[in-house]
Amino acid sequence: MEQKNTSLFNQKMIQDALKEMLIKLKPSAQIKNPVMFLVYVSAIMTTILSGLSLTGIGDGIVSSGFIIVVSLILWLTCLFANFAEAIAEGRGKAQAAELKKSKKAVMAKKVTSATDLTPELVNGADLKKNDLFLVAAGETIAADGEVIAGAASVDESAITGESAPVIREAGGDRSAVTGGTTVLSDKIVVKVTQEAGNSFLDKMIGMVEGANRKKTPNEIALELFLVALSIIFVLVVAALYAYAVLSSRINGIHNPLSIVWLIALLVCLAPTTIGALLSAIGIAGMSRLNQANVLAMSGRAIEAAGDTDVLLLDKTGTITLGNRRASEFIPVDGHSEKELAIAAQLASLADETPEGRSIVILAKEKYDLREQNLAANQTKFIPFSAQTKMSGVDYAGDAIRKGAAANIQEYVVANHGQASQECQNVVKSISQKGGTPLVVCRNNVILGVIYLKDIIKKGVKEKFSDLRKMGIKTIMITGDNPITAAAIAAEAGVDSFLAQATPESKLKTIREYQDQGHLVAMTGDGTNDAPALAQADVAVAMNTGTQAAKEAGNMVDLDSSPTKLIEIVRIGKQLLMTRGSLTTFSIANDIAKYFAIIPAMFVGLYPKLNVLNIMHLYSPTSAILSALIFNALIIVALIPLALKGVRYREVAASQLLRHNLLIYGLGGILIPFIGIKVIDLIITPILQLI
Amino acid sequence: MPVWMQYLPYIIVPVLLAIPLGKYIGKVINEQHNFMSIIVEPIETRFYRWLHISKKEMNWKTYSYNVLMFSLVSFLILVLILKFQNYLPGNPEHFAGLSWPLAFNTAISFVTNTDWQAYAGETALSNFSQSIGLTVQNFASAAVGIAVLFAVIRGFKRTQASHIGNFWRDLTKIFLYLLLPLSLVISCLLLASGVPQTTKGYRTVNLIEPVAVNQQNKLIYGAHINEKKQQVTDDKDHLVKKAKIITKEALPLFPQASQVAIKQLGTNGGGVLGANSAHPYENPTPFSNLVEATSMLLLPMALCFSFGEVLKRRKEGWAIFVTMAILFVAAIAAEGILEQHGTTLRHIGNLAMEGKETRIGVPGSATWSIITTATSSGATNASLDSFSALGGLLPMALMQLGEVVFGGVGSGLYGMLGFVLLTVFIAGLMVGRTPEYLGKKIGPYEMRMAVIACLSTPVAILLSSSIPAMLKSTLSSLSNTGAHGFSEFLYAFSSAGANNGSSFGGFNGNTTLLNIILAIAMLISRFLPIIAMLAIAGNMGKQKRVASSSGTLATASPTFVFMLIIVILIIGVLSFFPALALGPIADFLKH
Repeated sequence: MEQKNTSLFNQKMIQDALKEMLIKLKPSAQIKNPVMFLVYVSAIMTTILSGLSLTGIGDGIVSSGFIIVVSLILWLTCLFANFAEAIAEGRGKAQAAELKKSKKAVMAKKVTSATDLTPELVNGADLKKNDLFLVAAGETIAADGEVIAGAASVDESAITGESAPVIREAGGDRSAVTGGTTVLSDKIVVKVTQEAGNSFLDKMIGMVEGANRKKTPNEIALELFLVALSIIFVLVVAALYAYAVLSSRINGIHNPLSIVWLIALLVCLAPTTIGALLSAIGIAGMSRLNQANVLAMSGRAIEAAGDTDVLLLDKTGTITLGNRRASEFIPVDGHSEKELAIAAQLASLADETPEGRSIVILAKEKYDLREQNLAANQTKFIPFSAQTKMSGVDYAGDAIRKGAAANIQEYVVANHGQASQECQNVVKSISQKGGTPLVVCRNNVILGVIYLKDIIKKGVKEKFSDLRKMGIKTIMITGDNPITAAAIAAEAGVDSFLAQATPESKLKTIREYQDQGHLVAMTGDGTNDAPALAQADVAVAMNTGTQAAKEAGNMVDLDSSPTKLIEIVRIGKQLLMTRGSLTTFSIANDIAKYFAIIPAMFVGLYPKLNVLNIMHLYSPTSAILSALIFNALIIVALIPLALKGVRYREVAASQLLRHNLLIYGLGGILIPFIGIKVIDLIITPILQLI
Repeated sequence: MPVWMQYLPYIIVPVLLAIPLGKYIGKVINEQHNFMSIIVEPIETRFYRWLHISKKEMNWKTYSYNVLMFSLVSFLILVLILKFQNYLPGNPEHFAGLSWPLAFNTAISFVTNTDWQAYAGETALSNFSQSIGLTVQNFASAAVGIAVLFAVIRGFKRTQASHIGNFWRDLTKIFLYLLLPLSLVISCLLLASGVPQTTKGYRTVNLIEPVAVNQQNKLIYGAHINEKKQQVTDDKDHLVKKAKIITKEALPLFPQASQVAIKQLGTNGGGVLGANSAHPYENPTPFSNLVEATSMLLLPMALCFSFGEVLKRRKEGWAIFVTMAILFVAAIAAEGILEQHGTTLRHIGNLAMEGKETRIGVPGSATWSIITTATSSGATNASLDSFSALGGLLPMALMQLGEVVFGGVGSGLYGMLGFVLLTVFIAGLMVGRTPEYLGKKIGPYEMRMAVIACLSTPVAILLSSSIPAMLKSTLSSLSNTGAHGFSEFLYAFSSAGANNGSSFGGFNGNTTLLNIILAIAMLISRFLPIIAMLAIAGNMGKQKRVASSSGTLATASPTFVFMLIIVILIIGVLSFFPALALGPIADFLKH
């Protein structure tokens, strides 16, 4: 999965799909798709009829050759549908094969407790829930579990495709390990949470392969509609035969209608295009999600994603770049900016946090202050401590401190310095702008304030405005205070925010929105996110997150990227749109097929009905064959669309509807007129040769 | 005055009346106080007390059960009345009881609000059968349709509620607040325009000019009658032996005004007389023609507005109204053009007036033929058999669409809501969301029911017509050959299978087999949609309402209306294009 296959299919997949296409011809596979089963039965019937016709039993209306050609086209139609499904599955299988490689039989060192580490070698598959096992550097983790002792760096590339190792340690939010991943350093004791066959990897393989794929409610509803249409067409065709009998009696002639024509008409009318592509669309949707490195626990989750209209987005990583950055030095009480910058830089030299680094960098950029070589004997770094809530340096007799405004003021006053009114004003104005102020003092004199700013990601504002057009509300979740949160929310263009968020307040927010009838999506990673994840309609757990979070969610993001939610919504919508558009297209096709077949069929009864032959098809035979061939070829032609999904744009529903209606509705009416005519032009000379 | 202006009143008058009426009905559904309350409420409460009707509401299953039971009892009573009318009072002409198949067919027909008539009223039914049997059902079946709609609207309106109203209260309210007062007004208007209202029976009067019939009671055309000699000679001056001279006629006087009023108001359409509203005693003047046409459209139109009113989403009501109105006006325009133009035959000339009453004229007949088939009334004032081929196609197609272009009282709108759900489903998918209507999700359950509601008409028509089409005996029911004969056949089944009841003419449906098959078609297309739509209402009432946003499919937008029209037409066309090709289209191409 590291090298994602961006092309729709390669040669190997096509070969496999061709094989699978034939295997799927067995009745047990066909009956799963009622619309195609109708074609399947029709193909069998025409095959029998052609056999009878060859032995001389026929209706005297159509030739044996014609029946044979019809039955061949019908078989091809079935095969094309099988091919569409097989190729969609093939893409999933290719992804699954990668995963399976890491699912080799693994031996596990079972231990009895975290303290007694005498290992007993057992087969990984025999591990039971709550068993403990030891994994050392270079070994593969045998089962999904939770680290209960030790810490190790783990290579999870088999699942995530991400080659950088991750740290897994006992306790906290980074304790979950996945079977099939490899420990690179140190050793850990793992408690089994999922037995073999039920592990995360197994589930993933199942989902990706499509084996665990259940029909979603939308799919079932659509299938019901298609089945109902098919039933109507069976009745239409049966009634048509009866009407022809009556009409020929009224006119005192022999019934000139062949059963073969009726079968051809039935197959053309039945919504075979969408029927053939329906499961391919579903599988392809899943596959697209996998390509985005997201695993859905069910197909239903993907569709729910398309429905969500409230997104809870974490501020950090989604809306703002991971960390705050120093953006300005604001001196107070007559100190110079450079003086402040030097002091700030000195105080931050030992500060390895991204904020600290950004202060050093800003000072360097603004005043070209090189990182100063400090004589070690003159320097004493004061690290950040939970008690003082400040950090700094004692250097060459100067005591430089930086920290939150309140703490520094307190520190200065306690050491007989002067509190600064100007500083307080600056701090207040920075807070109101959504920034974080850090106050710097030297020898109990306040020098000024460092303005730490959240950096809004590029393009985020536009993205949110697109989402708003689509009717999706964005809500920023942040631990910041309400003032800071409001300022960032305004700058980023989110619709609302939840400040000083706690797991409880997240859960409450989700419930509130759901009570108003919204569908809520969120991402989360920590164990304390689990309740909110469980409550949300679409819950994406980060792969780096805890087992609890993963189990509470209905999707796992292997990249652990906070922006993934937006992509997931897109994929969900695209899946539904593809189904709707192809259904429209399929039904709209029927109009042209009627104009091809009806005049051809009734020409013996009412020759003047040939006026309806507006495409001027050459003969009744060529007309019926052209319609049938078109019906079969259109399936193949639409396979790429079914796999890729229809084009998706972030616009309002009304615009989307107009656009899709124009392309797939109007297009669906016009294209078969052209297609059938072209096929007729091509096959007419061939038919004349015969 | 240009001819097209004669068409306008038939569109404008009903719309103007329907808008305020719709608001009023909205109040009735919501059990709100309205201007009729002062008069009706005392009667209403007494009624509930007498019949022990409680305020307790029903879930959809109980509601459906009561609808079905009420209809079953209605059917049984009606069958017995028709079968044994000769033992019952009010039979001044001493008509015999109907045969079992005919009684069965007629009873089903009136209970299902179809009013298909395989008999002629003036020669078959007693006053008692007409008024206590049929007219009661004209009220009852109309009220059932409206009651079901009330329940459906409640289902769409409510959230997280399992009840959709009380059938008996709905029925009572519909009688007392709607049908009785409105039909009283319409009866008076009809009386004023000359429609008779009497229970005294036929009156015999002298003919202005005597006529003669031969031994087989067939009229002798161009007969010369010598009353003194009691001799009759035909147009070739040959003496006709054993001819009878007729000097008196019996005027078929019934309580027409009251019965015609409810026949139109309840979109029943079953006339007192065989000629229905083509007969001067049912529809004497252009004014009465307008009154009756308006009565047919009044409730189906008004209910669209009530829908918006009750849901507090007027735009949704208007969207459905506009959808219906577009199809309706297009049909009237097309029918008008076709019939003004008429069919021209060599040697004979233009036949625009063929089959139409002179006092009503082409505009009055053409609009009527559309109104009566757009709504599920089925009353006729002209012979469709004599219309141009395509002029006959349009009324047939309107029925085949499932009676949703205004349609029957109540049934038209709930039928249309079925199509709305189908359209919402496809359109909803196309905008990338799980389809929802009025904030309610459309899942597999709703879809199954919507499909049943929308497709029961095509199924009823196609199924019921297939069997007789295969039988040789059916030929004898047709009075025409060729494609026109097939049109007569197709029309009859479309009429029954769409619960319309109008007749093309020229088709004899009174055979045992046809009586039974047509009755079954009526049953399917009446009760399947009722159950399906009530089930949807029940399920939707239980749902929460999903919040709407710009990502939600707007169902009150022009795009949606357009798509809804296309879906209705496509399902209709796909189901009936082959049949229409063999009937009216082949008929049209012949000329």
